[in-house]
Amino acid sequence: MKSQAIKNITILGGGLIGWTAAIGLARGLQGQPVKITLVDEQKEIEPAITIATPHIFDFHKTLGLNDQHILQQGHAQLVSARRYQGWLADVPEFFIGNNTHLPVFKGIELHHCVKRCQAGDYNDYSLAAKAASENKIIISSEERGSLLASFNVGMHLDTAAYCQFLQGAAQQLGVNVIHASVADVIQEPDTEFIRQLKLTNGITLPIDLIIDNSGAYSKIMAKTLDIEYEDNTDNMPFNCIFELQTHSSTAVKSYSTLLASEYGWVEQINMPNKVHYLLYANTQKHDDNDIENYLFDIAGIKDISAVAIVQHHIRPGRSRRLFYKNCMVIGNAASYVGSPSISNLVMAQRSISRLLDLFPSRTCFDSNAREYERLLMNDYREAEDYFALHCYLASTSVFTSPFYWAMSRTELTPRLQQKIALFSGSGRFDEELNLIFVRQSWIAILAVCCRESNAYEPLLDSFEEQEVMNFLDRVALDIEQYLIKSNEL
Amino acid sequence: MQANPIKNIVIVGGGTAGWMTAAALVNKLPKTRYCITLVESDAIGTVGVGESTLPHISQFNASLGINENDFIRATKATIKLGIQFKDWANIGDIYMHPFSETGHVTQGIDFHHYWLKSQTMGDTTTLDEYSVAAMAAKAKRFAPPNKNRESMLAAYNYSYHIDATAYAKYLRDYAEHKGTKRIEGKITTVNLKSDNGYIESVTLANGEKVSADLFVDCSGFSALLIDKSLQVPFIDWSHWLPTDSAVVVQSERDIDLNPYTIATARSAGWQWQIPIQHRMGNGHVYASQYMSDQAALDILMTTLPGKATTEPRVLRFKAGCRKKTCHKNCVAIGLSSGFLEPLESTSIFLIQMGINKLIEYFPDQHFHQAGIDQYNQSMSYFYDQIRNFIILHYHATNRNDSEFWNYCRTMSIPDDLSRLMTLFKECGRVDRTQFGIWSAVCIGQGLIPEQYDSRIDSLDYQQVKGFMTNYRTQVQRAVDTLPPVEMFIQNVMKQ
Repeated sequence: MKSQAIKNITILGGGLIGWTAAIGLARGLQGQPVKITLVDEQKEIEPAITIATPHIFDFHKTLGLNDQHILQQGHAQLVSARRYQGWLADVPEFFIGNNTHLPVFKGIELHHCVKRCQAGDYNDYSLAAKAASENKIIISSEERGSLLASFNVGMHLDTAAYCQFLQGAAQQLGVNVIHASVADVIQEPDTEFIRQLKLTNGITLPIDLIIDNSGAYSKIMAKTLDIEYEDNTDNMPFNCIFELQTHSSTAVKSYSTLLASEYGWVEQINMPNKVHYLLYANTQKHDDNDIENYLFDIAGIKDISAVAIVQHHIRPGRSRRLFYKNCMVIGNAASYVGSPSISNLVMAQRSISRLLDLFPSRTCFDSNAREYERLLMNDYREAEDYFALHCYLASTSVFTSPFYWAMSRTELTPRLQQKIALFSGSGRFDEELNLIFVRQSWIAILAVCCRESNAYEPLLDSFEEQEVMNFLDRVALDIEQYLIKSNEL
Repeated sequence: MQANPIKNIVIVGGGTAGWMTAAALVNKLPKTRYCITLVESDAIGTVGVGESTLPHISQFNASLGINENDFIRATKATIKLGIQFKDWANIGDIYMHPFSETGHVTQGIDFHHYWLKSQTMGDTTTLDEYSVAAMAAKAKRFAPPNKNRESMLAAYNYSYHIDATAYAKYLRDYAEHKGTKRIEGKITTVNLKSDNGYIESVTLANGEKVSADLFVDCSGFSALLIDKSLQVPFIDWSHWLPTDSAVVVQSERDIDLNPYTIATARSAGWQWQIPIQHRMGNGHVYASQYMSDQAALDILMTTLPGKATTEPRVLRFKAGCRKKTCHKNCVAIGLSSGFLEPLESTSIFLIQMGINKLIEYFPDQHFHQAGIDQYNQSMSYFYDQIRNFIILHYHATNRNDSEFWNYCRTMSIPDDLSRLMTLFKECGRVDRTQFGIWSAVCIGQGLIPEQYDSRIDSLDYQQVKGFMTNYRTQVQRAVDTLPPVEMFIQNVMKQ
């Protein structure tokens, strides 16, 4: 029998997502007689800073990538929490830590205990959040039972430097890179499978599997295979990111700030000697100039001729198929689910892991592609819900500008409505398998959304209040001791 | 403290479901705040099947602090390492659904792909030969899995064949000892609150009224509360699972102890053989539409592994599930919530899941709808998964020797199952969140993938052959070190 093994994989489109796919595949298929080629069209300009959730370390670990040197060279900043500013009318700011396993009381989760004892805010008992609020960085560990195992750190990355890191590693593993554009796409007549890419430099690439990372108006999935990209502009309050960087001697921070403002959300990231501002706004609701002036304002820039704002246009939505024929989409070609709560980077990492689990043959059976899509769609739905929860929270803020008006009309999926109802009724959160956001990230944000509710796990009443309070006091004391020991950034 | 905690819980019915629920709740809920009452009548019999169990039962026992050896002694338990299926895909076929994955995932690829590749190279070994549980079962050997995860003897699981009536009795002692109140009596009326239709109380034959905040319906097929009183509809699945009867009988156990259940396909259903220490449990499940009671009985009686020790009795049932297993202030656990035939020994497992979810979403007096919805979603997820898995056994077959098999082979099946079967058939992929070991069952049922993972083509003939031989040898060596299962049971009984 002739082998059906895939021999030629082409990734169309470089950048952060393209190189993530390249390194993921090169590592995952090491030892296989597969030729991986990345066609770099160099079209999109990406934000200079990428917010990487803690997943990035898992991704590196499975790939056996050594991330030490990217950290050492100052291109990355470790963070343990996010600071929300201006989101609530009654609370000027709060921190949400990257919690993973907070201490439990007799099998009952900590947030129930906080409610039972009316002992303040859930995030007061998160080492990650407390450390960030004092601008201290504490490195998590896997030591069981220790508070150091209660959270994960994420990273702020210099996009270009990280890309270069991935590129170097991928090329070492044999990934070819070609700088050219696509001139023509050749399909197999009966199956419509993509079989060749003719490039502008005259090269013709044979194709078994193509990974389309060619942006929101994707070349293969949308244009060649005619798969629709479903717009989700109604449920995504912004359509553009305004990016501004300033040189600054302000100290680095162990958290990022997400500021709610009239014009949208501003993500503020302090890197060594630089501060980055990413303003998520809607150019249909507000005038570009107003948005830009506002951004200059909060960045404290008086001389606007000295700095430039870069606009990144977004196409909220999702490709109707994520894997069709012998083509799979990643990056903006697949979807824009909505930063700032999640970046396309995580989705690309998940996509590649799923692809390796369900690695196809040349036949690319539809059943296999659909299984891949089914798994990935769970991820997308979760990401969309998680994002929508932010919109839900924001719609209760003091702002009434068109940006927020749009937000207040965001439709919550029945799944999310159920999550909110369950949490506000009993503080419970349904455990699902293989969440992108760990259980504690969901709880942390739900706890803010449902802060009016006093409900908690009924079985907690089986214990004396004093006993529960002692538990909380102990946790608080432990946190304090860790903070005393640790240094400021 | 919560404004409205629940105080009184009444469990209606005292079979396996009732006493498992009572034992779990009384163990979990403090006596000072909760009062648990179980109402049952000695005059009403229990179905008492569910003699074959799944490995999860040890978690249940452990959560109650029940010692394994005590449990084995009390329930006359024997060890189960899987189910042997005979005559399912074709008459003469035989395979094991073991309590272990078959082989290890290697280079990120499921083991059965290596087996498939090896088959294309002329290998004739069965998948069973790569499973420690399957091979130990066949060799009638057993020891509890090794705790060292590197060991070949760590990668399997086990369960028990038990006397289910004795298990209920054991749990009754446990629950009563811990403070569950038992009321003997037959329920004549269920009284609903006039304002919201919640159950207020049940009236017994002697006139006594028993009221509670939360009612658990463990009344078996009669579904006194969830059906007769709250009228929650039953979703009928008999078009997918047409067996509706079983004739059961106990017999002497003349044969050696098999550490597995035997499920033999018959012309209109299948037959079980479950060994416990002092006897065999036997039953013949059939579709009455395709076979008379007498014919079913004859088949059972002529194939008994020993002399019958009880009068055969016939059970009737219908495959299906309540539209909601939790409604208002009532939770249905056990046969009142639904029925799936015992082919994959799931009835005690479903009871256990019902109890776990009840504790996970334990209500207060508000009976928040979101919690109820979540409970119902979880339970219907379990029911659907197991239903699909059972249908798979009937549908993936080549048998065409009877009207019954012709029906099953050609019937339309649930979309989800169809998707999973195509996925396996085309490319050998398995959704790992599914209930059961799909690769073993699909291949055993003759559903052989058209392609293996083509990444294995990077290995040459010698490499694949070497890998397979080596794995098989390791399994065999590991199994050879195990003592006979009889010895394990005898040691437990001696203590």
